[in-house]
Amino acid sequence: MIKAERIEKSYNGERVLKSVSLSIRDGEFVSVMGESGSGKSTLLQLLGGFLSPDAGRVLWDGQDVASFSERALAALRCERMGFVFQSYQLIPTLNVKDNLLLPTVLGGRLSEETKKYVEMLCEELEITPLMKKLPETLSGGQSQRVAIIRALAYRPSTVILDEPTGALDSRMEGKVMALLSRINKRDKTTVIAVTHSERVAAFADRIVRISDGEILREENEKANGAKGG
Amino acid sequence: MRLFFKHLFRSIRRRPLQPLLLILILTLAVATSLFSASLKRALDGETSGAQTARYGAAHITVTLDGGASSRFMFALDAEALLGARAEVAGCMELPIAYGTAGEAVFGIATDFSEIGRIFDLSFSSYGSLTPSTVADAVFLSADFAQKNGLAVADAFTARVFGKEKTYTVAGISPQPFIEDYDVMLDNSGIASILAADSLILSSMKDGFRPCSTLYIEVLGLSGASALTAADEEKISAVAALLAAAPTFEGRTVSVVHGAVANGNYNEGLSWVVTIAIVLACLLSAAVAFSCLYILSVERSEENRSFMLSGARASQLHLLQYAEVALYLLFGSALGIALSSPVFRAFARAFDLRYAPREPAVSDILLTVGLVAAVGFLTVTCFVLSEPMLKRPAREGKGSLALRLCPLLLAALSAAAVYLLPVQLRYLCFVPLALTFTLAVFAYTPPLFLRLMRALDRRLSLRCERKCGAAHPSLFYAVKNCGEVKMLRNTARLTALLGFVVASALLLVMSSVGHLHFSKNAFSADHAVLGATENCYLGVRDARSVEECYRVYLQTAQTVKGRPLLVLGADGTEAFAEGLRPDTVPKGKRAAISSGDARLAGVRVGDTLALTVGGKTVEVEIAEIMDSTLNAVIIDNEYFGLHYNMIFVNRAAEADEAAMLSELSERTKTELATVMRMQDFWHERLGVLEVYLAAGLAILGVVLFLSLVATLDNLGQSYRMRREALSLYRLSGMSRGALSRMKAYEILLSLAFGLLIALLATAALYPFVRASLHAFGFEQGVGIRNCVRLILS
Ligand SMILES: Nc1ncnc2c1ncn2[C@@H]1O[C@H](COP(=O)(O)OP(=O)(O)OP(=O)(O)O)[C@@H](O)[C@H]1O
Ligand SMILES: [Mg+2]
Repeated sequence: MIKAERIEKSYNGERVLKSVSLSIRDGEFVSVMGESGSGKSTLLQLLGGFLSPDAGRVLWDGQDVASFSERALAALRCERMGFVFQSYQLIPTLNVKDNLLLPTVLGGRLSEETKKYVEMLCEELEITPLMKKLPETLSGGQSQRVAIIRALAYRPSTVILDEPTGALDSRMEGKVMALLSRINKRDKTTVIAVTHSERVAAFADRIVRISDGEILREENEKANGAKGG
Repeated sequence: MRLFFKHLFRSIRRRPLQPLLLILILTLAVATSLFSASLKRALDGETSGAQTARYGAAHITVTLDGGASSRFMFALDAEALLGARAEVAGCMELPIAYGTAGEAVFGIATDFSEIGRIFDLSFSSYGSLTPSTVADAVFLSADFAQKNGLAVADAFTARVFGKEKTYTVAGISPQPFIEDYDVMLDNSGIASILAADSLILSSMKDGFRPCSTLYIEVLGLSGASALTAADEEKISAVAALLAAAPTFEGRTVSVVHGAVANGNYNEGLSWVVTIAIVLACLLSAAVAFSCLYILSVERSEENRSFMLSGARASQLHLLQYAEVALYLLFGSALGIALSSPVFRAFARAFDLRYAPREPAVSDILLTVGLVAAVGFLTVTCFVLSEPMLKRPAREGKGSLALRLCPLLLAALSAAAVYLLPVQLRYLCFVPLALTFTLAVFAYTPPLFLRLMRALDRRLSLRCERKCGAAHPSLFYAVKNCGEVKMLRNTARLTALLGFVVASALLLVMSSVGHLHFSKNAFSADHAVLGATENCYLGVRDARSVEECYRVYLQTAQTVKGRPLLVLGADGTEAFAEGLRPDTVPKGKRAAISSGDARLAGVRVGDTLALTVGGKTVEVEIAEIMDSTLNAVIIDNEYFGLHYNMIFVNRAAEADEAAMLSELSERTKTELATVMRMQDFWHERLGVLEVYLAAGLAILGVVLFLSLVATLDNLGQSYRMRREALSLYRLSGMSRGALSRMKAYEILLSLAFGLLIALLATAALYPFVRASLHAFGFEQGVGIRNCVRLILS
């Protein structure tokens, strides 16, 4: 359960989020949509604990993220939550394989089983031949897929993705979305994804629309029965 | 273009710390090399200044030796013998007591009318001197006058030969007279004192002008700045004439032209200091390179976006050059300003008397030129090797031949040491230093990369699960070390700095070691100089003396013109461990130190001709000694060379003051001087100690520069990687683990750099040591001895 209570955020006095409240149940698939510059990325980073709100609180299972210790915050990032940044944020000095395993290793959860799982994900998203390359030598779409696998590798209970398919062609977009909805369904993983694409948003249980730093309305896509199989 | 400069100034203003640090480092680099270059000039000036002060224009000196039947020698005799062929001045050293507390000083008595022809005397203040006042006149050195509050025309009351007399200060000289003496009197004043006690002397009146040293300038030479062969012949002829003259029986005739006392040591140390200076300049260049390189990397990233929006590469390159030039301008100006007080402080601390105390313009130009060239080269390298729109070149490119080039060059210069004849080996110093530095520069980064990648593979294979989780910071530090160029640069810089500092340290310490072991070549704590047979009898029976030996000690010349210490003694006990022949050679036989045997190319059974005390002697090599001192031990009496000093060991129960007073009491009629062994060496090797001080000063400055440069380099590279490092935090690395990772990275690159530095130093040292053979440096320069000395 992730809950945002009246969170506000300004950059240099400019209000980007204005008293946003949001609640996401465990196992839910939520899409966040909105115009460019409306504050989507900011919201996600607040939820993930990468930014701290100027006002309001972000609660993970009832606990305020702001009160997390350094250790708890680190544990959140490499055990409970997977985060895909809009700009991927791959570590330039580690090759693809090391990037993929980084949070797993940091969380101390590397096992043959996780390795197999990561290999499986790589096969699925066609990353396997790139394992030895450095991030600066990858294309935008390849980097994006690496960032996604990195967030999923250690089977976090929540994944937060900032435009996970922005750089992908439609075939790859389909594969990524199929993967996300599979882990959402089978592993009961909570998925929060920002997107500009209605096609992607259609996979979600719920769509949150943001405009000018405020939540406009929420739609229940499930009710529309538009979700793909 | 204006737009670009605006951008430049804005980015400087945005982060002013970086340019400031850069200027600081460049300042230090310029100051270091300028200081070192000035030091070299100062040492040369000091050596030749001391030479001129000690010998003036004289080519030959005549001194008393132990076999002299009379303590008196007369300049008039030499004048009568040589006529118009030479200018002669005679001097007599004499102890002068003054003041109420019984202070004493060594003064010198000369003929005021003669001395100026050989020595260039200068006075900072001068009174009047007429033929009638000359006997009561005294000249003082500025130091002495100041210490005693004396000025021109003041009265100076002194006791000479037990007689009190009041002199008038006639002039004050900025330097001591004949290098060492603070007080100078006229012989006529001394003669009147001696005459008061002796009827014979009083009848001689003005004709009685005794002296203990004659300074002789041979006239009619070519006048060129260096002596020609014909000049040398003329000088030798005059020396031979003196040595053969019956009036000079029992005197030592020495040819001093051009040959600095302790010539071989001087030459050796001068090279040691030269190489330390070359290393310091290389280091300054490396430091300038490394910080300008970081700047270029950073700017090229900024410039890339300019290029993408249509700027021309040439404009951006110009901008990079302009920026570097700007920093160099400030750095050089500040560096020049900084080096001057540092240099003056050094000159004051080590009491340089004759050297200029300001950096010379040519040195300034040289240093600034060097650093400017490095700046220009750095940017050019950068511009050529990393075109802004291309990806950075991957390492490992370049042909095999090019990659092996530094190694080949280093091997070549190392081989040259053994290919050249021993006397010329010193020529390899600079190429050795250059090529080894180049090799360290070229090979450290790829080696570091290889090692770290191998380590990474091992870690990944063996214990990704365990180590990775238990020590994620180490695990990722190793990965970063393999990938991050900045860390490789840090390793390289550390290796270069470590190599330069360690090599220079070893070099200087080896010379210190050589001197140190030289000083301990004799087992004595005091020496009686200018000792006659009467002195020996007096000293031998002194109660405060445990044992004493008669010793002959003189600088001789081999046929090849190399100065060589000639020793004789009446027993092997006179020599300490470092210099102990199996037996004291008898007759023609001689023992020679192995370094000199190698230089002179002689083996056991060969004969060696030496010019010593105006005589030419032919000795037969009977033994080659593994000694700590460059010397040849002969049976001096066999060649008619009398013992000229006595080495004394104090009895355990006597204290030093008691022994000194007993000895001076027993030897005073012989005008002999008693001094402590350490003062004796200080007098003989004083110049060398200045050289060593210079070496150590360069080391200190270089060490400081290295520390600052390393810290700055680390700081800069982390500032550049700040963003990349924060990504680890996003992936769930805790702050503590991140700091530990940085610490491991630094540790790994520094440790590797130091390891390479040590290996390179150890590889270079045997060759340096072999090239030191060119100066006959022998024992005491082994690494073990150096380390022992450093530790003590
Ligand atoms: N670090 C920052 N400093 C200053 N302003 C920022 C910063 N990050 C974002 N902003 C501003 O906050 C606003 C919201 O940015 P945000 O990145 O959340 O938008 P977004 O909805 O994700 O847009 P997009 O769809 O283009 O990714 C923008 O106006 C942006 O200019
Ligand atoms: Mg965004």
